[in-house]
Amino acid sequence: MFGNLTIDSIPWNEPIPLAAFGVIILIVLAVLATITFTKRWGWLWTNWLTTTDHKKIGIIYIIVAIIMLIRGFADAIMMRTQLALASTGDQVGYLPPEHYDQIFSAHGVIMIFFMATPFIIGLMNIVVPLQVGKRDVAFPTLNAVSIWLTVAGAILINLSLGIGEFARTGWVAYAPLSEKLYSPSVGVDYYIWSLQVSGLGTTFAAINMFVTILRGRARGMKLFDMPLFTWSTLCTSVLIMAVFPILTATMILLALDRYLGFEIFTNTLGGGNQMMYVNLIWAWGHPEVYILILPAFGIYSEIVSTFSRKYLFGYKALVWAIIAILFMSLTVWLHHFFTMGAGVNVNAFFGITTMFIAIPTGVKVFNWLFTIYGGRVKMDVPMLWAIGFLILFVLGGMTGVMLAIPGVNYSVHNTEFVVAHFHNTIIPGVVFGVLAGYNFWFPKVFGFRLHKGWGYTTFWLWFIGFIVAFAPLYLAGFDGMPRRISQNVDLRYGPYLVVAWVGAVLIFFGIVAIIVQLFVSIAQRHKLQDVTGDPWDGRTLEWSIASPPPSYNFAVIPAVDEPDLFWKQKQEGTAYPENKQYQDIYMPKNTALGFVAGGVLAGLLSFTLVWSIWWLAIIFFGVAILLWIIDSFKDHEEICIPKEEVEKTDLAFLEKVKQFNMPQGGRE
Amino acid sequence: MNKTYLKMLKIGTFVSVLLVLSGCDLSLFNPKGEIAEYEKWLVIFSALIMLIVIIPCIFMAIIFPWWFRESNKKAKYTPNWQESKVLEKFMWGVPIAIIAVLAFVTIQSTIDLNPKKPIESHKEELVIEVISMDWQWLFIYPEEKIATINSIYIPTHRPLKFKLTSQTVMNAFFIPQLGTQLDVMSGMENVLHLIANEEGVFPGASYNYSGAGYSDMKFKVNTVSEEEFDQWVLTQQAKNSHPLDWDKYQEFVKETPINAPEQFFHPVEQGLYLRVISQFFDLNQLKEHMHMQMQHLHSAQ
Ligand code: HEM
Ligand SMILES: [Cu+2]
Ligand SMILES: [Cu+2]
Repeated sequence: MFGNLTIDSIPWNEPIPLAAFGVIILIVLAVLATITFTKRWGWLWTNWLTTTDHKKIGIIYIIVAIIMLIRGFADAIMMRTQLALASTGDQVGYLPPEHYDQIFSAHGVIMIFFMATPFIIGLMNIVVPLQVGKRDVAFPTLNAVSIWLTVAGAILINLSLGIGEFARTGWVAYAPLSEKLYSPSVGVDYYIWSLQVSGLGTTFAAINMFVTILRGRARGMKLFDMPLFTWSTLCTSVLIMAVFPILTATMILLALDRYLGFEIFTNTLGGGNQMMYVNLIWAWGHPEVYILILPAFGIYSEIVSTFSRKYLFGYKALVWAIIAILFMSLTVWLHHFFTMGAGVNVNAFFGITTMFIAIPTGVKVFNWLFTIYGGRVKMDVPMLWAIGFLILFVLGGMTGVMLAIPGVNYSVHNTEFVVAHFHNTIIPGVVFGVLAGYNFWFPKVFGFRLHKGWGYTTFWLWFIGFIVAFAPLYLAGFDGMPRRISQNVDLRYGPYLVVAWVGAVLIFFGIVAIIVQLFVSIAQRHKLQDVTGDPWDGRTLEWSIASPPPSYNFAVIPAVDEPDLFWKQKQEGTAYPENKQYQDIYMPKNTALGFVAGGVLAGLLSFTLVWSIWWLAIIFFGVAILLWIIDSFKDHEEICIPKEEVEKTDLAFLEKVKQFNMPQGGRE
Repeated sequence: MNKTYLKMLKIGTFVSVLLVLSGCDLSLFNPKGEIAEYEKWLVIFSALIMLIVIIPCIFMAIIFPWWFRESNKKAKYTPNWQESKVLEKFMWGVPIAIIAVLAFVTIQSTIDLNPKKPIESHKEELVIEVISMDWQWLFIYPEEKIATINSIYIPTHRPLKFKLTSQTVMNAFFIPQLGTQLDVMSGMENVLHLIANEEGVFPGASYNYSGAGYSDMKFKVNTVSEEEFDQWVLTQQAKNSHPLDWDKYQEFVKETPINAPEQFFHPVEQGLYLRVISQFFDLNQLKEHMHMQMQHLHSAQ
């Protein structure tokens, strides 16, 4: 009846996951109770669950990302504590390998798929339509489906904490370890379906962004008039559309092996090919890290030029560098398994193609540095993150190039050196980037700034915490410490691992500071109000409208002829034009399709697949498809926002701007 | 000078000296064989050549924002400066030059360090067959008909040829102080040539995660002189009471020990290693395949 799901699937005798799951349940119940008592269900439904407003969907993405950052970090500090204990004195620690192995797998998957990716897509959702002068994304309903698929995946992976278990295979789940023979429990099935569901959401989001940018730009905006964040979103979308199908296919093949006894990647007599899995997973996995870093590059470009109050140095070079990285990142995946025993030619070829990426990346670093040169630098929180990024990221890039030399790789692959390296690119690159973007665009979305003091505090805790947590790992790697070990760790690694634990504690306070910053800012929102919509003396279109923007973004779509249009207009005194020709605006109505089909049904479907409850799975799948078909026959209704209302709102905004006498770009 | 400042300076120096000193002890910088020695210099060279630009970059990342800060009235503000042909040449030229050097080094070192390439020596190679299991290592000396668990003896200055395969999932075979790790897969063979130049006991382990007992999948490498090694072989062979054959091997396969003790065997069934690999082939299928190929050849004639 219920497939493999029984009452014993709950880990009754394992206190740690059970307690963690209990806490999550309590929090969820508390939230639900609060909503019920304050009678907010209707509000929640119309404003959030069924919304198609790209800004709101972006906010949901980022909320998910921040919650998952906390979850992923909880895993990280558990690992750090275990390793600190297992390498000093008692050698055993408090986690048996069966737990530890789930934790590092969950940490990797959560941080990549449910923290970094949603954060980036959330920022894209909020910013890109504003930067290209559009009222919404190209397919608002699809956008709602995307976010709820992501949420469903995130909920699924957290369910594994209390019902069944998660994979013990690492975040890329190499076969044959991930096959039924060696991983008989549902752990890998949770892995497969949470990736499938959220991966589908990511693919839809990319299609949406791609079409939005290519087809929806404001009048006159040529490709080389697009701001850099939009550029990086465009390239990232291409990359996602190119490689996520590989992930989907790989997961389907693995599922065929596990559910139906195909022998595609097994090492049993049937003769599957385990190396094929490694190839496929990295053909997706390597580009995936560029899917995360390219948007971060875009964010830094916007921030560096805004806070230096200068045109980007070498705009064209920056764009071409992104395009180059996009294509190059598709040709390097084999550097993840130099040690598999391929021949000299193959290894040397992939080593060299990997290092070539360092050239455009190096160019970008120089471009950012020379954007600062000759500027008038305002050291606000986003800029601080950008500087921290520049200082730390070059080191991560350097160790990356070292790893690209097969001979070096032979001696440090799969050691803590690799762990230090990828955290060194991903934390200063992606995490600093999204936190910078979060501080940068927050006032646009909510109409007030985030608290500066707490922003600084957050930065310093992360910056110092990162160095303390990961510098020792480079040394431990040089000393031959393998990654992913958890028990009986050689005593000589003790000092490094204890220091690394201290670093993780600093990062813990950094995460606390993010939350404190948010609450302090909400409390002081009147003081921190952004009246004019342009708190940073911005350069691109999103700063030319009110904060928060009206649902239709632009009262009148502007004509664009360069990336820093708003800045130029401020200098020429033509910003905030009056006497516009207002018109009625049509916006898409809310839809329940995304939440019901994308969230609820896809979530339930994946849960039943994990537990092989076939009859339920068929029902959920059928209903979801049915809803989709029905929805596609409906004319998508739109609401009309009358011309008079648009005019009234816009004039009020212009009045405010005049009253506050905006500082005009670049002037004394 | 401020006193606390001085104190901090002292502590800083002390800590960095400590780190540098401990650096000499790190296994990568303390190689015991030619391959590892080569890899050590590769690490140092590649890091240094990149630091030539990385360090100035970090400096610029600190100095530029500081000098061009809003409150510094002496700094020149050039908001429209966004192009410089000279700088552009540098920005592309410097990374290209460095990568060119590194690409050259990559090609040369990949050829030199090819794990399949035998090490030149007038001495005869010692062959050791390695089988990874859940979660222990079986080493077979086919010529000497000796087998060991989680421990090997090797002579110094004699080229070693490791033949690697797995009974279960993927693992990686790595002795950091001898250099070059290589993946170990079932039904397949990887070949790794190494050499040890100093006596001692060095740690080795699996470096590719393989399940619950992975942390303890370690082995000990005892590097001894040629004479001692011959002596060790003779003593092992004299203890004739622990044979290792296919049935005994099957017992090992069923166990999944964590932290298994060292064990020694003699004599060892001939061809055991090949038999382990061939478990993953359907021999009939293989024969049929070969047969078809032959027919194809004949008909082509
Ligand atoms: C915030 C501080 C973080 C800490 C303290 C931390 C700590 C760790 C630790 C201890 C491991 C296991 C290392 C080992 O193999 O022995 C690990 C693995 C990993 N981390 Fe993090 N991490 C952090 C942030 C992140 C972030 C932001 C990401 C990605 C966005 C990330 C991605 C990964 C991945 C992919 C793995 C590999 C998991 C695997 O082995 O399968 N981590 N991290
Ligand atoms: Cu890669
Ligand atoms: Cu293979």
